[in-house]
Amino acid sequence: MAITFARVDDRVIHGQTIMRWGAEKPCSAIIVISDSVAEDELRKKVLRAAAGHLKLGIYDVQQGVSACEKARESKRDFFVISDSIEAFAKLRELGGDFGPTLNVGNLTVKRPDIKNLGDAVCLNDEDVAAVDSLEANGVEVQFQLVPNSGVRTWQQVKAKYQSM
Amino acid sequence: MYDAYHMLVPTATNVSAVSLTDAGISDFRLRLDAAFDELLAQGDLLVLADLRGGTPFNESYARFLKDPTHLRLVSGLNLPMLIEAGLADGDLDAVYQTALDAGRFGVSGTDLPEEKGSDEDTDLF
Repeated sequence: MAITFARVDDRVIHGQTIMRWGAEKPCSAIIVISDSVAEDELRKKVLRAAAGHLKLGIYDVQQGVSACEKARESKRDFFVISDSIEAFAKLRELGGDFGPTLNVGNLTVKRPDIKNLGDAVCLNDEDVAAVDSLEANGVEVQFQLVPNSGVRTWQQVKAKYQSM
Repeated sequence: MYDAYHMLVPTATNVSAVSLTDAGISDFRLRLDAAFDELLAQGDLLVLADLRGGTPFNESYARFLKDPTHLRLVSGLNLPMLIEAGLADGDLDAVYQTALDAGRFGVSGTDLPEEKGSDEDTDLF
């Protein structure tokens, strides 16, 4: 397995955050999987600059399935990042394999009907359905902003969501 | 910058900040000396100052001359320097070197990208 980390972060590639996770888990390349990013030429240029010396590939979700397969067979160590939980849920449903765990780190962009669950995570009903789908498909979803902040499980976060 | 550091490293307890304010240099000197006394009692200390020759630097340098074994001083403070030094392991000299390297590495210019950039870098896989 050469995918060392899969993460949801709506900033996608955030310089110091990637450096922090890169100090914990090996990373020499980044795969971005997102339908919205893949069709946004300006955003892609910005991400390319943010990736700096790290190799980068940007794909829509459909292309992401084979990108993950190539990454797992590669000698490089990959971070797979998307700006949405839904992208990972769809990727998993299409048979994409990005590893047994998914980290959700930063999800704060304004979207309809979101609830603020703290630690820079805001979810709506669609996100909840997407995490449920991932967990049902054997992916453990962990909520953690940076390596030395605490990990919250889906069980904890979902209970909080339902109580709000 | 202290707030930005804690945004990225919420649990950090190893960084303190002393700022020069409108209250003037003598007030700053008192607070800085108090911080030095407290922190040096706990162990070795790396000081990151913004401007070489500015008051925070000069006062810290005076303290360094008194205690060169347990104190190191760097000027040109920037956020990459603070983050890397704050997270560094090792003895005082190793952390000092990390601060110097990260501070220098953190300064870079920006270029326009190639007009027809590919979505996949060469030799990605």
